[in-house]
Formats: sequence, structure tokens, C-alpha cells
Amino acid sequence: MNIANELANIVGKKYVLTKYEEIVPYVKDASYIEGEKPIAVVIPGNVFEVSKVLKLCYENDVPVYVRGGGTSLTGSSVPEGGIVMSMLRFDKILEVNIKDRYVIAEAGVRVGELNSYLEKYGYMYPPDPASDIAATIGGSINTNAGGVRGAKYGATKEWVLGLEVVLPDGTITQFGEKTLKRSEGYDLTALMIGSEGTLGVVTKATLKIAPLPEREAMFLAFYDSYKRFGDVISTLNERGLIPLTAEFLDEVSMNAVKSYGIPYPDNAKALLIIITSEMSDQVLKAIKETSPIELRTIKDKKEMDDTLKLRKGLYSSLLLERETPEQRVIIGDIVVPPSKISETIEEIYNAAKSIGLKIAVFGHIGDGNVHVNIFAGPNDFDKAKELLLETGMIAVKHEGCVSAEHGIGLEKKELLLKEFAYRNNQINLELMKKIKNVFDPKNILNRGKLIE
Amino acid sequence: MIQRIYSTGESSLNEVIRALSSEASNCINCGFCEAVCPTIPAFDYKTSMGARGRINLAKEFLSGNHSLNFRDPFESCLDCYACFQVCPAHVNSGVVSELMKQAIAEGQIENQKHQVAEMITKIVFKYKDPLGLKKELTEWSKGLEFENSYETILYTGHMHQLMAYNKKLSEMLKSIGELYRFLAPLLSSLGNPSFIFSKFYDKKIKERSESQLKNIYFLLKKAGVKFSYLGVEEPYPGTLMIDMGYVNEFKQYAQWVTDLFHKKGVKNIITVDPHTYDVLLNKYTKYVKGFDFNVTFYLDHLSTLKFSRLDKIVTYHEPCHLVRHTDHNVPKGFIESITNLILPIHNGKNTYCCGGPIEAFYPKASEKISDKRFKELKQTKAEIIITSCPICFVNLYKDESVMDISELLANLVT
Ligand SMILES: Cc1cc2nc3c(=O)[nH]c(=O)nc-3n(C[C@H](O)[C@H](O)[C@H](O)COP(=O)(O)OP(=O)(O)OC[C@H]3O[C@@H](n4cnc5c(N)ncnc54)[C@H](O)[C@@H]3O)c2cc1C
Ligand code: SF4
Ligand code: SF4
Repeated sequence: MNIANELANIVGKKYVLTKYEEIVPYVKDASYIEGEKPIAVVIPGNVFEVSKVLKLCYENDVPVYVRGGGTSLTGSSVPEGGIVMSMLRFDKILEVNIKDRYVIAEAGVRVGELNSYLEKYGYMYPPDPASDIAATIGGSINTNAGGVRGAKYGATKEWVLGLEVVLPDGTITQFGEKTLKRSEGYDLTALMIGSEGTLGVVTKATLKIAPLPEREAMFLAFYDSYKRFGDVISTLNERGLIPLTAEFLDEVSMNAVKSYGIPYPDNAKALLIIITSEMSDQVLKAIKETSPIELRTIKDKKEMDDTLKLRKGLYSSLLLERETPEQRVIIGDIVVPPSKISETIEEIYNAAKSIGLKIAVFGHIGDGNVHVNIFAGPNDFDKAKELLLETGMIAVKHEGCVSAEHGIGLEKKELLLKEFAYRNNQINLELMKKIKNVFDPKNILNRGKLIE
Repeated sequence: MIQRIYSTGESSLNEVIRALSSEASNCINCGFCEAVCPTIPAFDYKTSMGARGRINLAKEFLSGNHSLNFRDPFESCLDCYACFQVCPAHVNSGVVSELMKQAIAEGQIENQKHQVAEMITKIVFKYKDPLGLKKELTEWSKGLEFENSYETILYTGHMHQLMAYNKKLSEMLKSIGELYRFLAPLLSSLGNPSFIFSKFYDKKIKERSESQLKNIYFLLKKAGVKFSYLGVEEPYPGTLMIDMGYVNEFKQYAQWVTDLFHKKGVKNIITVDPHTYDVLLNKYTKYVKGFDFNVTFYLDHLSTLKFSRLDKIVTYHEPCHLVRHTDHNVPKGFIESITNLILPIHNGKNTYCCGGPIEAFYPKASEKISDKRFKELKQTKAEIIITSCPICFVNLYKDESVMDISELLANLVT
């Protein structure tokens, strides 16, 4: 059987790609991991085509790698042979319902585009990864993406109400509904979130939306050590003050954005950015109690936007700090309880020093998410891998997790197992495998990833 | 910090490769550019026909794989620079396409030269115009008076005038399909192809474009600008040559144009379309010796004019070559002060291409892009859609609400 011909019968010839030059762009995602060329790339245009394609692949035991924006940082969307199913034709926003607070969008809609669309209603879909210009609804659901609004609004999993899903054998089903809550046994919608394309193909999502918050103030607090600023979030939490955004940058990160508009005092080692929508005076008081060496308050909306843009573009700014184009900035992603951030970072710095790699650390301190960015030249990959592993385990030791928002993909499979082992939770892996087997007994979806 | 060689128009294969790898190697494959590149949805959502895919393919070329079909992915690039606008690593996939087109044009990649591009380059060299038309291009100026001195010239760059012929030509190309491969060399070997091309034009577009040029003339006069026009001696700037990758030919040709301007005593050049403005500002200054003219866009000269207010919703399609290639931002303030301006969802530096640059070679994709942009412009509920580029105008001219900014201003000037 010629799989490409069969696929063409389903979606039409022009939506099946087999030529070398056409499939080259699908072999990589935004990570440093390169996959294996697929037999074909298929670009279905509706849920029935997705269903027929999956049925065909299921019956013929052909692995399927679903791809949204291909912005994954863990190799989660790269193929290892099989076929790639691109979701880019699913690019329509189907319904906005302000009365019932939801929006329905197809899986290939870009997260940023959805938010530009909602803005005119005075609403937003809160998860806002820095990659929102390219990350799709389907991809962000499958990685449980987070962003700078996470401090108050949490990650993607808080915002998904219902999903249209095609199961590996081609069955079309719906998980969840348009309602804001449900109590109906196992939450299959939740199960899909962060499942990295291993359980089913999301074709359409019903997402909860929230009114765009009014921002009262932005505070920039500079500290001369990592030890102090970690206390801020704990203090705010103790007093019931939850900011809209709470981000931090270390010295290398501050330096990367210095020329773009946030100058910092000479002895500053860390910067905390906090945005509030209420009780700003009390937040300010709490920050002052942690003795920053300098504290700036911004009230002007445009200045807030510009500063936030710098934070969102921080990874980009770090790229320009590379010494050669061959050097990569490998972005790590761990999470610990916010009160453990300072000690976690301290240990990570020590680890980087002893391995001998330059790092830059920033993250969403509001939810304890730390991104350790490793500058690695072509000969440093083994060392970088070692540091990634070590960073993950430092997080685990501090009651944290090896992945906060980027997922597991290929990159963190080993780390996930180590986390389970450290906690003596190997049974979790068994449960996950059983779940996978229930959904996908022939293991055709994203074969080789996550728990394999 | 990484040092970049940001340059197109390198003259040998080695230099093209050097510039290509300098641009492409910074790419981290994040895919941001893919999300804004208009050619992906226009080419059936294939990512090889989009910004990130183009970088991936350029890397294949750099790794020595010269046997792939590079022509379609790179010649279909609109040169709109939307990708560059969002790239976190400051990579410009548009520039990568320009360099790859150069490699194709120079025959570095076998059998991928475009016959029509070859033909046009040859004709430009011979007749100083892509279609060998001379008389026809000056028809708009019949009866108009100009200064005697060429110190300041209104330079049409032939862009407005060629639109009517271009439209017909692309319709022809659409209908003859691959036959152009045989016809093109034949046409370029003719004594003078103008007797053929002069018969094929879109009458309505010709009238409209000529009237736009007249409006520009009228507005400049009213603003008190003193200028002349080279008439039949006005040379084409060579834009198409550089757009299609014929860099060495362009350099030679542009030098000739520059020398001609010098001979005529030109000091100030007032351009009337974004492409000519861009090519003079960014390419002539780079590749030509002695290009020391003061180049402006005609809208820069109208600040003394008074306009009555039009109480209508107007939307403005900002041309890529103005806002992204040259950073020109005068018109928006202008329009805002005299109409009720509502900008489309993609505006300013994030404007969306009209599809025009690939109209001749990829008409179906071009139409999809212009349809998408037209829909966005219509979503503003504007009664009038304006633009300030003849290519954008022709591509977006899908109903009578579309006009050139010169037409709006000529109507409102008091
Ligand atoms: C510069 C940069 C910054 C980033 N910043 C952030 C950030 O701030 N926060 C954050 O959380 N992430 C961030 N990321 C990571 C990445 O953007 C996210 O993981 C994003 O959610 C992936 O979306 P995507 O559409 O690109 O998915 P892809 O990369 O295409 O796929 C990701 C996974 O989802 C699966 N998948 C995709 N679509 C579907 C579907 N329709 N059905 C089933 N499975 C599917 C794929 O198989 C794969 O396993 C960043 C990435 C980059 C390059
Ligand atoms: S946006 Fe820039 S870095 Fe990202 S894929 Fe495109 S060219 Fe590469
Ligand atoms: S210049 Fe325009 S068409 Fe070309 S790659 Fe960039 S965004 Fe796409």
C-alpha cells in the first residue's frame, strides 16, 4: 500500500507532501533536537479528514506526529519517521460568547491571534506564552503552556472547558462542554492537557475567557542578592496579595535588556517585575520590607507595555548575547514552590559553575517557574545535557518538578523517570502507560515521546 | 555579540554563500516568522513556502545540496519583511530569499533560472524599460508643464504606468502556463518587443494610473514645488532586476542610470511610488558609485497644503516597502487629520502584504493574499480604502471603495 496515495485520496493531492524539499521544514521544532524524515506530511482541512487519516494510519500501524506551530522546545513535535499531521488549516475562530464567557477556536489558531481578536471585546484568553505569536491552541493545550499572566491566572489547564478530539482509531468525540464547571467522573478534558499529542488529536477547543484586567501599577525592584527577592512572593501570598504578573531576571538577563530600556544599578544581581491590578499600596509596602536596593514605580500604560515587551522578548535578547551563531541558548524549564526559588537558583548557579557553562536565569516567579538558559557551543552539548539533568533534580529536591510549561518531549524523558524514582512514584509511569494503552493500543500517536 | 554581514548583492558565489550563512545561521527555528508569513496560507499551508521553511532550505543549499527545487520557495517570497519584524534572532527570511534568488539568477543552481526574468533583464538593458515601452509611459504627462531645469525631477520609475501592462501580462502568463518558457527567449530576441507589449494593457487601470500621476503632479504644483520630468528619456530604475536576483546586471544598469541623472544635472529626486523610493534609497546608495542625490517621497512635500475634512471612515493599507523597507510614516498622521481613520488589524510595521510582488509568476497565490488583505480592510467598515503604492492599488482594487491616496488628497485639497 502506498500511504501517500491513500492520504491523497482523503485530503486531496495538494495537501500531501512527499518531496524532500517540502518535508525538510517539518523535521525540526524550536529545540535543538532533529527528528527523522517522515514518509509524508498531511495537511487535513476538517475533523472528518483527520478522522479518516487516523483510521488509515491506525489500521496500517503508521506513526502520526501532530504538529501545530512547531515551537516546542523539547522535541515534542519532531517526527521519527511515520507521517506528520500539520494542523495549520484549522485556523478559524468559530464563536465568541461573552454572555457565557467562552470562545471556540480551531486547533491551529495562534494564541496571540486569538487574543488580538478578543481584545476588541475587552476580553482575553489568559495563557500567554512568550511564543504566542506562533504557538497554536492545539499545541499550547498539549503542552499546558503558561505565560507572564500565570501569577494570577495560572496555566492553560485552568482555561480549557471542552475539546473536540479525534482518537487514534479515528473516532471523533467531545470531552467537556461550554459550562464553567462540571463534576462528571474522570476529567477526560484535563487528561488531554499536557498530553503532547500522544492520546488524541485536538481539532477544536472551547476556552474560558476573562475580562482584560485594569493594571494599576508596575514595580521594578532591584536586589543585590538572589536571597532577598524570593521572599517577596511568599510575603505577598501570606498577605493575600496576588499580583497580575510577577517575573524575575538575573544579572545576565538584565544585561541583555539593558540597552533596550531597563537600566539597572551597578550592584544589582536580580530584578523583580510586579504588576498589580489592586491593593498596589500594600504590594509596594511588602516589596519595601524586602529591602530592594532600588525601587521604581511605573503608572504609565505605555511604559508598562514596553517593559513587559522587554520581558517577553528576553529569550530573544539573550540570543543576541551569543558569542557565535553556532552557540545555542538552550532554555530550561523547571518549577518549585515560590518560597524555594532563591535557594534553587543559588544551587543552579553553583552547578553551572562547576560544569563550566554560562547561564542566564529568568522566570515567572509568581508561580515558581524558573528558566535556566544555557549558552552552549557545538562542543558543549554533553555538558549542557548534564546541567539540564542536574537543574531538574535540584528542582525535584526542592519539592518542584522537572517541567513547568514546556513539556517532556524527547528532551526530558529521562528526567521525568528520575523525578518519579526520587519520589518513589514509579507507579505513576505505569498508570500513564496504561492510560496511553487505553487510548492508543497500537501506539501510533507521537511514538517515542513522553513516557516511552 | 555576533557580528553580522547584512548584505545582499554579493558578486561571487562565495560571497553569496558567506552572506547567506551569516543571515541564516542565526535562525533558532522558533517559527515566529512562519506565523506571519503570508505565503504559507496562500500556498496551501505548506511551510516550505514560508519564512522558516525558506531558511531551512537555504541551509540545505549551504550544506551542498544544490539539486532541490529552490525556485518556487524563493521566487514566491513577497519581499515583504513581515518575518523580520517578529524574528527574535533578527533574521530576515526576505533577505535570505533575495540571496537565494541571486544564486539562481547567476546559474549557481542548475536549470532553475526563470525565462521571463531573463527576458525582462535583457529588455531593460536594451530599452531602459522592462517592456521596451517609451512613448506610452509618458502619455500621462501630455499637456502638463514642467520646469526647464532638471535640478529637481519627478521620477515615476515607470511603476504606475507599467501596472496596466503588467496586469495583462500576468493574465497572459496565467493562460499560457508553462508555454512562456519557449515564448520568453523568443520575445527577448526580437528587435523591439514594444510593438507587441504596447497592444496589451488593461484600459481601466491605464486611465486610473495616469490620473494618479496627474494628481501627484497637481498636488506638488499646488504645494509650490518646482520640478521637471525626463519624459521619454526617463529610465526605468531596474527594480525588477534586483527583485529577481540579477544583482550584477542591476549594478551595471543602475550605474548607467546614475550617470544619466548626473549628466542631466539632477540633484533632487521626488519619487512617487514606494518601490522606486526603496530601490533608490537602499540599493542605489549601496551598489552605485556617486549616487549622491536627495531622494524623497512626494508625500513629504505636501505639508504646506490645506485639506478640507472628509467625514467618512477611511482605512489605510500601508505598503510594506514604505513602512518596513524605508521606515516612512508620514501618511498616517496626514490621513488621520483629514478623515476618520480606522486602521486594519495588521497595521504599521505589522502591515500585511497585498500579494502584488508575486502577481506575475504566482497569480493564484497572489490573489489569495490580496483577498485576505482586502477582507481585513473591509472589516474596518471603512467606506474608503486608500493606499500609497500603485502595486497595492491594483492588487486591492476589488471594488470602487479602493483608491490611491493621491486621489483622496486631490479631492480634498483646498
Ligand atoms: C522563543 C520561545 C518562547 C517560548 N515561550 C514559552 C512560554 O513562555 N511558555 C510556554 O509555555 N511555552 C513557551 N515556549 C514553548 C512552546 O511555544 C509551547 O510549548 C507551545 O505551547 C507549543 O505550541 P505549538 O503550537 O508550537 O505546538 P507544537 O510544537 O507544534 O507541538 C507541541 C506538542 O503538542 C502536540 N500537538 C500540537 N497540536 C496538537 C493538536 N492539535 N492535537 C494534539 N496534539 C497536538 C505536538 O504533537 C507536540 O507534542 C516557547 C517557545 C519558543 C520557541
Ligand atoms: S523567526 Fe527568526 S529565528 Fe525564528 S524561525 Fe524565523 S528566521 Fe528563524
Ligand atoms: S519576506 Fe514576506 S513572504 Fe518572504 S519570507 Fe518574509 S514574510 Fe514570508
